[in-house]
Order: sequence, then structure tokens, then C-alpha cells
Amino acid sequence: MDVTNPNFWYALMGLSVVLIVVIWKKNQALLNNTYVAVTLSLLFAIAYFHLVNHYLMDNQGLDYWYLFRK
Amino acid sequence: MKSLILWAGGIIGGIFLAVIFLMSSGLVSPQMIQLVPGYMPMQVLIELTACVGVFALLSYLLAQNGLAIPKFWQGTLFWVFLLLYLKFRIYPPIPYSVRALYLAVSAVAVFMWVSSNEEDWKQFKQPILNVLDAMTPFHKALRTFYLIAIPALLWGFSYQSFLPSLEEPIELRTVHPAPPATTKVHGRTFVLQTAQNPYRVDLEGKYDQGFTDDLIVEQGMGRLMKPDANPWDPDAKGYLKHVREGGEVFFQNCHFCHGDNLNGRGLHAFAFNPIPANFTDSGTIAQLQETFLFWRVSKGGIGLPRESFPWASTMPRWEEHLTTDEIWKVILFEYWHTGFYPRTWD
Amino acid sequence: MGGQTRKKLMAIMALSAMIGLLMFPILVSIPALAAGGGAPAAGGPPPDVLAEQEGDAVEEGQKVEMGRDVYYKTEGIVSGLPAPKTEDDLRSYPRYNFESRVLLWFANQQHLYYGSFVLAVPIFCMIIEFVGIMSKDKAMSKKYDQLAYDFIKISITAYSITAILGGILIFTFLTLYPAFFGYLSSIFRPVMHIYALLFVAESGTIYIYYYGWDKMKEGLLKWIHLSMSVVLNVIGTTLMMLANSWIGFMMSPAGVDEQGRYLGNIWHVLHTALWNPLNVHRLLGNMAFGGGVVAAYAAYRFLSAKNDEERAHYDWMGYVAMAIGVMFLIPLPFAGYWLMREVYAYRQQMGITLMGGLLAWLFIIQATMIGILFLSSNYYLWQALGRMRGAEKYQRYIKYLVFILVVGFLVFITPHTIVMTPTELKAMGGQQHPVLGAYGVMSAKNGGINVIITTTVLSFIWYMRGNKVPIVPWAKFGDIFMGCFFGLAYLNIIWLAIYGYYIPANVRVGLSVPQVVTTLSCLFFMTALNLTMLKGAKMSGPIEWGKISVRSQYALIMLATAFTWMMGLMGYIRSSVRLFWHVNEIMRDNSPWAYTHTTGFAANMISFNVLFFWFTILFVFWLGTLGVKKVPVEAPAPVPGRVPQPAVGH
Repeated sequence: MDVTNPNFWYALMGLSVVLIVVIWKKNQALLNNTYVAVTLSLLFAIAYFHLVNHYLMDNQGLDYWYLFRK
Repeated sequence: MKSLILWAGGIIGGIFLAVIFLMSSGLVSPQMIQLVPGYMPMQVLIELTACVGVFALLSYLLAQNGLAIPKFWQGTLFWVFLLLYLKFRIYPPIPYSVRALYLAVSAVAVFMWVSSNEEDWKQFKQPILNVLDAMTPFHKALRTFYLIAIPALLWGFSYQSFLPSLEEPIELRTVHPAPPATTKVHGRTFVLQTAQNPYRVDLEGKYDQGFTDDLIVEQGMGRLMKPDANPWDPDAKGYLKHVREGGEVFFQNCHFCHGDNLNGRGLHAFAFNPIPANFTDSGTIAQLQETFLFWRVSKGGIGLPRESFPWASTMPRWEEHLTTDEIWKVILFEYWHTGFYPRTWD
Repeated sequence: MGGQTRKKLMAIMALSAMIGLLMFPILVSIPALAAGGGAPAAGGPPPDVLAEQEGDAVEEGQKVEMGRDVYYKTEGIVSGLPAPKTEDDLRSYPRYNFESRVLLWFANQQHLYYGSFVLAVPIFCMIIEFVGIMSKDKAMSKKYDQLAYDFIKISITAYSITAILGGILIFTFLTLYPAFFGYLSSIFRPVMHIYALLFVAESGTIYIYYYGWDKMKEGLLKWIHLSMSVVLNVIGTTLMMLANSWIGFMMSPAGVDEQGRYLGNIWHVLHTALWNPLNVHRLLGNMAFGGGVVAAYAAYRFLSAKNDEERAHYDWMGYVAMAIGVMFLIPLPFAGYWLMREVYAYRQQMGITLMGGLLAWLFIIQATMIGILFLSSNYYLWQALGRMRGAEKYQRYIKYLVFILVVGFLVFITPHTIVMTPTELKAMGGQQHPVLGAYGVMSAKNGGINVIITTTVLSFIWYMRGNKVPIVPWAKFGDIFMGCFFGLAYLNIIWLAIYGYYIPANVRVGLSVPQVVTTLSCLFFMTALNLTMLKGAKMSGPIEWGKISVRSQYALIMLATAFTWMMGLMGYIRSSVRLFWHVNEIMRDNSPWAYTHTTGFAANMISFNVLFFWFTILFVFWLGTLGVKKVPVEAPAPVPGRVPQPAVGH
């Protein structure tokens, strides 16, 4: 599990989206459960912001994971 | 259950507030909860956030039990709390100019908070209006008191400001003045925008910022050397060897003032005012290009531009004592030792 | 029917005329540009002749001198005179018994204020007119249209004042700085002509646009009218960009050699290192400024209103203007950051003079002003919650927003160079403070401003949901998702700010981009999500226009004044960073006034300019009220699903 790899975060974000959609289809009430909603939202947001950080640094030819790779 | 948690939080928060307050007022040692060097900026913010949380919780609990603190006093006391916090909690002390700035903004913030809706604003104004209207004997007495006290206070301020002061005047000193475009050292002209440290090289002797950045000590409190990156290893070559040579120059020339930990607390440091630059601070060499240091080291305090009036620096012109190579190497050493990277533009 | 067709024909012709006017300067300039920019000839043959003779010229040898571009480093044929070396005498600097620079400063600043205003207002008109056309609600549509018309009416008077001030400015230049202006106009000769011609085009367009308003009210004609405003704004923006190229050249010259001799490539002269950052920054700044001025006008009218109807109208107008202003205010710091980055990249010492050196204190003042802008717009939004029923649920939490906002603000205004007495300096043990020192650098400040902007976005979202309760089945999930997203956005911003201290400067500067995008993600995604959630939402009460607190209107006036003051300040900073150069490193300022003013003097001068501007603009507003014909008040048209708006004629 390499956190410096964007694919990891894509997978995480994908997972959260899939879960949201699946839960929504199966059981709408479950999605509105506070704990479920918080978990899924955090999962999505964490993955999203890591991707933002990674790609926007990458675009400038810089490495977001500078400190972690060393 | 919920109220139990709230109460527990309230009590813990109250104790925390009390500790902060005691430290702020000097009744217990401010060291009780230490401000950790290097982490202070965040620590201060976190402490303040915690305090605000506790205040909100306590005022909620009090209001639930019919002991609501009037808005006017909430606002005023919170501002006083900030005043004490900024003055006594943060050490080394914050200069007056910055404290005044902070407190002015805080006053605005308090105003924005208490006037954020009509009801709160009415509540906030009420005590003030009561005093102005003076419908009860107490308020009348208070109003009379203010009528005398406020002019007296103003008189006091004016009197104070007319007293001759023995303070030295404030110096608006520019610590890092803009460097010239070029500087001439030992007959050679260096363009500050483009010049490079000739010793910042990889094993093949080519200029390599990334390579050398990987070999500096670790940032943080320990400043540990990287494994296999010991400049004092007799086999060290290239960059690390130059760092060692720079270190030798540093300890023969610079450390008397800039200190053996490069923190500006050298043997002679406190004979000077201001004391020498602290390289371990993230606001000094970490913000500057290597060529800026090269210019400052070689020209010293005497070579500062007009902008740096009153040139409060006793640093000698090191070009009179060191070779160009030695200056470059000592700069290399300073970055290596502090774990900072010089500023670059690409 | 025939009349309608004729009208359409006329409209299309008018539009073609406008586009023609727009193209006219370009057509005129093509021959000159094709010949290498119609460069000023230095005694020898004209440059176009020179260009043709290039081949032979090489053989002739001594006739053609090559020069190296100071910025682009390209070789070019020297085709202009070197920058004049001025002396402190009456030939280079004729003067009254007074500081010429201050006169020029005043003329420049006033021209700029009005210029910004008349460039910004037509863009507003365009937006508002478009919103009006798109609005399905007839009453609303009419209201918007009337608002746009009111704006352009004000702008017409301001337009002529701009032209007058422009004339004054040129005369000031010609009479007080002839050597410098001569040099500048020799470099920019073709550009200045195009500028003048564009000004003609702008005038033509704005008059057709204004006077054609009533004639082109319906259907296709309205669309043509709207496209006229597009043309108008294209011309206006081009004008601004050309004017920017002059100051860009003065700060970061290009297209000339070291002696300032023109090298025959006009594009290089225009496209200097700082041109584009300046363009973007100024365009956004103008818009925000225009919004502020119009909002202040509305606030003034609100405060002096005699009845509820007027109050309702001006409350609404102030809100619309503020919303547009803030819309452009949000990206403004990022554009400013880009400009600073380019300045640093262009000349390190220029950047340091600005941010850490001589002018650093002005930057602290500027940061304070930016903070005031955001604080007042947030305050306005919070106060605006007071005119909605059902917004009480948000009002309780405002105190936390205040806290976040102010902490961001305090970090943002912490000075890097601190004013202190020697005693304090000793007590601190050095120039650097372990807390303040860390807040004083860019990394922390970026965090601060992004926190402020994200909070502004949050306030706006609260405002939007103030009187609405979402009823979509996933409402609770949506709320939680939004909360988590905002929470993590704050965390990400703060984390990036801290992270910046641990990595090298060249990587650190890059961190600002993900920070900005984090903020913008909140802006775009969360606003979109919010709108989706609010579809068909339950209303807990209408927006009661006019019921807003008086404090909010003072916040609007504060906003506008802060804008004006800040523009003056930033202009001063940008201009004085050249220090003793007319044209940076090319033409030296040898007048007796080539020093940097004290901060106090500069602040007083800026305040004077601001006061003068507000007095004159009040006059413009007053003129605007003179010509008002009383329109009968229309009955409000209640439309289902929409907030009934009090339709106000005026």
C-alpha cells in the first residue's frame, strides 16, 4: 500500500463513491445514518484532497510527497 | 448521558482555563504548560481554539442552568482574556505594536460576534444604555463616576505621553534589505539572480540542488544527520567535504557571535543590540537565496544598503578576511547544519 | 411588422458598426505592425524600409547595429534612440514650486479610479442584463433590466469624467515629465495610437448601447443589445490591457536593449514579464471595486430612504452589487499572489523590497485592508440572515465563523519586520520571534487568506440556505457531506501551510496552488451541491427586503471605502517599487523626488485621493438622480415558487 501513489487515492475515492451509490440504492435510510454518512464523506474528502495536492504539485513539476519519500 | 458528557467537558475545560489564566497572570510559572520551540505557532492557535471551545461550552452550561452571563460581559471578558493571553502567556513577549494590532482586530471580532443578530446586539447594548439613561440610583452613580473617570483617564494618558521618555526611539529596521542586482567580491562580479554556489555539487562535481538537499540534517529538534552523510567522516567527498570545510570556517570565524548551534546565541552575542541573526529560525536563511547570504557575508554590516538604516549590524566585511571559496563553503555549512534549503526560483 | 423588421435591421447595423469600430484600430495598425511595429526611427531610414533592406543591410555592415533584448535575450536591430539621461534641471523636469510627483500621483490616481469604474460597470451591466433576459419571472426580469440601465446611466457621466481626467493626466505628464514621457511615447507610438482609436470606438459603442436601450427591448433586438455590451467590454478590456503594458514596461522592460533602444519588436515591448499578471489582477480588481462603489451608492440611498419601498429596492440593489463585487473579490488574492510570484521571478530584489524590505509595512497595511474587505462582506452576509425567517438556526453559530475568520486574519496580518523598541527587542532576544516569525512568512499567510476565503464561501452558503430547508431524500447525508468537506478543506489548508516549513522553498511555493484549489473546490462544488439540495426546498419564510439592519449598510460603505483605499495603496506600492527608476534599470529618475515617501505621507496622500474620489463620485450619483422620471409603481407580480419581490419603480 503506497500512499504516495495517486492510484491508491483514486481507489479510495472510487470506493467511497461506489459505497454511497450502493447504499443509496439498497437502503436510503442507512445513508442518512450519521455514522455511515460521516465515514463515507470523510473517506471521499480525504481521498479528494490528497488527489488535489498530488496532481497540482505534479503539474508544476514538483513532488507533493517530498518529505515522505525521503 | 449527554449532559454528563457536557458537564465533564465543562469541568475539564474549566480546569484548563484556570491553568491558562494562572499562567497568563503570572501566579504560577508560565512553564507549567510549556510552549515548545518549533511547535509554538500551532500550539498557540490550538490553545486559543480550545479556550474558545471551553468558553462556549461553559456559557452554554451556565445558560442551561439559568445563570447566563450577559452578552456585554461575555464580550468584554473574552477580550480581556485575549489581552492577558497575548501579554503574559506567549514567551518571549510580543512587541507592543503587534499586540496592539491583534487586540484591535480582536475588538472588531468581538463587535462582529455580539452584533451578529439583532437580539444579541440589543442585549449587548442594554447595560451601556442603562448607564446612559440612568434610571436607577446605581446607574446614576455609575454615570456620574464615568463622567469624572473618563476625562481623568484621558488626562492621565495625555500627561503620560508628555512626560519625557528615556526609551530609545523605535527603529524601523529592515532586517533583510533588498540586495543589489550584482555584487563584486575579490574583483569578480556575481549576478545575484543567477549565481550558484560552486560547492553545491553532486559526486561528479556538477551543480545539483536536489542531491545536496537530500544530505542535510533532519529538520526538527534533534537535527540528526542522515545515515552515510557525515561530513566529518574522513572519506567524505564532494559536497560533504565542502560542508566540513565550511564548518571549519564557521567555527573559526562565525560561531563567536552566531553561536555553536547557529541560533544567534554565541559567546559575544549579547554584547550586541540587536543580537546576531538566528539561522535556525525559519524566517532567516530559509527565506533567502544563497546568493543573498553571499552578498551579506562578504559585505557585512558596513555594506548594507541605505534601506537598512540605521545599519545596526556589527558584522565585518568578511571579504576582507575570507576567500570567495570560504564564503561559499560556510554558507553551504549553514544550510546543512540548520536543515533548511536555500530559496530557489525554479 | 415592417417597423419591427426595420428596427431589427437597424440593430444589426448598429452591432456591425460596433464590431467595425472594434476592428478599426486593428485594421489601421496592421500596416504598421507588419513592418515591425512602426518603430521610432533614429535618424536613419524608417524601420519598415530597414526591414526590407535587412538582407542588404548585413552587407552594408556599419549601418545596422544589433542590440540584445534585456528580457527576451533576443537579438534585434536597434531602431530607436537610447533612453534619455536626465538631469535635475528644468529641461527634463520643469516644475512648479511643488513636488511634481505628487501632482502626477493625484492625476493618475483619479484617472485610474474613474477608469476602473467605467470599465467595471459595463461588465456588470452585461451580467445583470443577461440575468434579466434569462430570468423567467417577468417582474424580476424587468427589475434586473432597470438595474442594469441605472448602472450604465451612472457610468455615462463617469465616462466623460474619465476622459477629462485622462486629458489632465497627459498634460501633467507632458508639462512636468517631458523627457520621460517623450521616451515612453517613442517606444509605444503605435500602441498609443491604437489606444486613442479604441477610445473612439469605446465612446461610439457606449453611446449606442445607452441610447439604444429602450429601442431594443424585446426579443432578438434585446439579444443584439446584449451582444453590444459584449463588444463594449471587449473594447474596454483591450484598452485597459494596452494601458497596463505601459506600466508593465516601466516595471519590467522588454523589447529594448540595455540603453533603452527599441529593437523593432512591438510584441516584446507589450508582452513584458508582468503584463499578464497585471492584466488579470487589474481586471478582477476593477470588478470588485465597481461592485463596492455601486453597493455603497445603494447603501447611501438605503440609509436616506424615506419609505419601505425605497428601502426594499436599495437593499436589493446593494445585495446584488455586493454579490458581484465579492464574486470577483474571491479570486483576487490569487491573482495578486501570481503577480507577486512573477515579480519575484523577474527580480528578486524587487520582490524583497516589496514584501520584506522597504515597502513591507505598506504590505501589512494592505493585508489589513484585504482582511477588512472579507470581514465586512462576511458581516454583511450575516446581517442579511436577519431579513430571512428561519435563519436563526445559523445565527447561533456565527461566533465560530468569527473566530475562524479572525484567526486567519491575524495570521495574515502578522508583520515579518516588527516595529519594536530596543527594550522589546532585547526582551525578545533577537529580531525573530518564535511565534510571530512563523506567522510572518508566506507559507502561513497563504494558509490565513485561504481560511478567510473558505469561511466567506461558507457564510455565503449559509446565506443561500437561510430561509430554506432542503427536502431531498438524501438531505441529511448532503448536510453531513458538506460539513465534512468543509472541515477537511480547512484541515488541508492548514496542513499545507505547516508542511511548507519542512520542505525547500522551490517546492514550498508550489503548495499555494493546491491550497487555492482546495478553496475553489469548496466554492464550486459546495455551491453546486447546495443548489442541488435546495431544489424545491421548503421555504421557512420570504426574504424581507428592506428589513436588514442598518449596520449592514455601514458594512457596505466600509467595503467600498476599503476597496478605494486599497487600490490607492496598491497602486502606490506597485509604482514605488521601481525606486529611483522611471523605467526599471533603463531610465533613471534624476528628479529631486526620486526617493520613497514615508509611510505616513503616502497614507495621507492615499486618503486624500480616496476622499476626493468619493466627493466627485457623489456628484456623479447626484447627477444620476436628477434625470429620473417617476415611473408609476407596478403591482408586485407574485409568481408561485418564487419569493415575491417588491417591484419598485423609480
